[in-house]
Amino acid sequence: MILRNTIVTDQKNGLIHLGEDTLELVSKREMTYPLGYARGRIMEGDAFVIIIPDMVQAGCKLRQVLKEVYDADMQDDNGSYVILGVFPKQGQAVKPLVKAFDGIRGDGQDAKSTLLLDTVFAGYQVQVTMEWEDVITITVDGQTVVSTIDHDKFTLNTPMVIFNENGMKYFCTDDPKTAKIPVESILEGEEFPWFWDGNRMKTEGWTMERLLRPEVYRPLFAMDAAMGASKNDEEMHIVDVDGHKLAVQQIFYSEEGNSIKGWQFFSEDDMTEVLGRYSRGYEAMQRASEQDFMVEYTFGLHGNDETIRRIRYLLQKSAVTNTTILLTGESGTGKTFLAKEIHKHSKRSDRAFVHVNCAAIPYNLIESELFGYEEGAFTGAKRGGKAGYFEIAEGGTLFLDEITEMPLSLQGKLLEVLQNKTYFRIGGEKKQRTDVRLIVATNKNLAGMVEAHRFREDLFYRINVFPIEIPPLRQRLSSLFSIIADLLPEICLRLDVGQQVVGMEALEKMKRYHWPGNIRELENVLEKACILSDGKMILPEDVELELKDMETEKPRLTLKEQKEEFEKKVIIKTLRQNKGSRIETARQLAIGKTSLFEKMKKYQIEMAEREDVSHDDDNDYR
Amino acid sequence: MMMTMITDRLANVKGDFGVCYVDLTEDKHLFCGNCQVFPASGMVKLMALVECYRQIEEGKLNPNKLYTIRNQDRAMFEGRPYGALHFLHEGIRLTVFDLCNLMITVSDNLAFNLLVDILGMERINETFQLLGYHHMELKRKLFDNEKMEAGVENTISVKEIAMIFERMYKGQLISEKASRDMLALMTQHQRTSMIPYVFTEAVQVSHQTGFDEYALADGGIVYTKKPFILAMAAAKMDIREAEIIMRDITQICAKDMV
Repeated sequence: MILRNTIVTDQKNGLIHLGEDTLELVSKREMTYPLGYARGRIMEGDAFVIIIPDMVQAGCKLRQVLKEVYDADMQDDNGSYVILGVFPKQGQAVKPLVKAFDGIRGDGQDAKSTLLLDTVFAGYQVQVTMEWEDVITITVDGQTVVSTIDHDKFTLNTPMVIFNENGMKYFCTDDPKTAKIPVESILEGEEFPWFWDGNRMKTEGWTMERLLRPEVYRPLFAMDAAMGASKNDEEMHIVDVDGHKLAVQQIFYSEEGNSIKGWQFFSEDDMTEVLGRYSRGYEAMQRASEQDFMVEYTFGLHGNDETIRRIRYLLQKSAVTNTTILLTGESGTGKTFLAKEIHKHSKRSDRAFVHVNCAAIPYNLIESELFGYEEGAFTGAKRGGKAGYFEIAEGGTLFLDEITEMPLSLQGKLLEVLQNKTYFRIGGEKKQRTDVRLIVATNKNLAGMVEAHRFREDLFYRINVFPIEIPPLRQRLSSLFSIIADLLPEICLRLDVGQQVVGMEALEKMKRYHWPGNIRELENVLEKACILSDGKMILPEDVELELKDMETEKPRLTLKEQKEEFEKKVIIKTLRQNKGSRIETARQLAIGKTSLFEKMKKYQIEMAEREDVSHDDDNDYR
Repeated sequence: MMMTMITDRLANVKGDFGVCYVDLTEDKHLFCGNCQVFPASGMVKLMALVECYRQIEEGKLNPNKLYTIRNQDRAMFEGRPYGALHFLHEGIRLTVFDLCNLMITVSDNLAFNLLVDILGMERINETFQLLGYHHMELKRKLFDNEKMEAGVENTISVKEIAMIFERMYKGQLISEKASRDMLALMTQHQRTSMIPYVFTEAVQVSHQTGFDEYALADGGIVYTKKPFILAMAAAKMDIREAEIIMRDITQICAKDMV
């Protein structure tokens, strides 16, 4: 099948076929008698010549367009005219040239050849001659089209030629497609279809070198020379045509036993369309490869890896109950978002969802914020008192984010609320009943904090009823494409930029990154990439990532080296958990103190005893 | 052939348009159009140039004599005066040659008016009458609003401009040196939107132009392989349209000359 974006030649580069979309690559100037033209319309600055043998027959619509659009004055409505004009350009109107001539009588009695017009107009040399009243020849800057007069209809089949500095852009022909469009419509800017005389192209022996624009022909010639014979080139090459980039691929195939060559051209829009199609196919393939596990609701969790499917399952089971859910995971993994999704999917979705960030409330205010206060409970207390979050969330969901920031002193009161479902406002005497569904979140190691006596063990067990750990993004890189496919359309819409797809190289770059900020960071990176992207595809240079978190190509380690690396990580992690205490670390790791000291010396681990321990820094080795 | 092409180009032009062409190789002359005499606009500077070189040649004018520019010299120019002199500091001192150069290269209107004062309007006209150019007449300085409102206009003739340039080309205007010097100066004329527009920089054009709200003129010698003279003027029409027509006519005339 010959495609419209393909040029086909024989082995000697003789042209066999020019696809419709390749006609713009033709050098019109080479054709003394043009073979055709690409689809287009008259544009600012394009010039035209029209021969009107009988203005009456031409119709009032044409007269109207010539007058109103081009300001052409025809003195006599019955006369015959040659009219030269230029499609108006802003700030530059060229008055048309209107020349009357003796009408075509159609009796064949007139002189052999009559020069109807010979001049230079707007820089173009234009000549119009009539021969034996049958044939009109229009020549513009060395290019000629010839038309015959239909005496019965008293019209010409080529009444108009449009031209510019690149040569003839349009001329009327007998071709049914072009013949139907009225001249006045084209003068007003209506699109005309393409036309190409392929038979003449073959019989006149046109070659690529003669016909194509030099900036197109030269790279094709170079490709051809580099390829040799009969071997498909999978690489795309780029040619620049009038500032637009086209990708071109050479292909070889046989037709009727003859080996022929083809060049397929792809514009940026073509490539985007193909990429979009393939990326959707890839996504469909990914989705189709998942197990038969129908998740009724995704909870906004992107990706389809096994971990996420398991989490969805747990959420689906727990969301519809009143059980307390503990969400753990690094910053940026989407715990807040998930809490809202759980609420939306619960039986309390029609009631309030109250989000409390325990880290954001001042230490001395957190109790009053959570439980409310009565009037006069303390200096500055509001008149009439104030409802706390438990009261506001009544019947709905209370989401306590960063629960580890809650003061130890308040944890006891919280425990009592969870156990007895009652509490007192500050300064209150009336017991308040509570009916909230609790979701709790933290990015800290809660168990470790319990061990360190910085979190109440009894409260921990009360909230650790249905723990769900959301894995960091770096553990889900196999699903990165699906995640991006979910995020990108919304980001593009929000930024009000055209829809983009992520290139494979950009994806690979992102897969090498550790994503310490997880989904939140990914969203930021994608947002920036959309802004930086010059086209419709995100390229590696559009993706800006912190170098220190890029996984560089490490040399392959032996088993011993890998074991030692792992041992070092474990020791560092445990030391952090124990605030640098070597004794506690040795005990926890079930090794002797001396052994620990030796290993620390071996791995050059230096760690002073510190106050804070957090497992956010798991990858921050020393 | 050329006549037909120019006539075709002027087919439905409204307004006054005149073209005079001289083939300097074959000594052929051609006139086309519906008018010969036009409002001079800046083309009148050619008259001042000729008279200036005449007086210098006769020893009546020292080309290096200095003249001081005063604010009152610029008083009559309102809006956006053409040229550079209007913007230089008061008290600047320039020679006659400086004024000539400014007048021709950047069409400086103030320089022209000063030269008219130096040369004398009557003497300018006298010279042109003596040379036989009866349709070239200087009646007022540029931007003399009082006279303009009274309808007093300077005039030029496209045929006579062509003759002036023909004389210069043959070294027969004032003197051979003067002719050569004037032509050399006019190759530096910086308004290039008409005759010079269609040529590359390799083709020299020695010319003078005139622009006004409804009048346009360009005349000079084109030094193609076969040099020719072209003098064109237009009036009572859109000067943008006139400009495009002049370019087209230049292209027609240059067709077989390049």
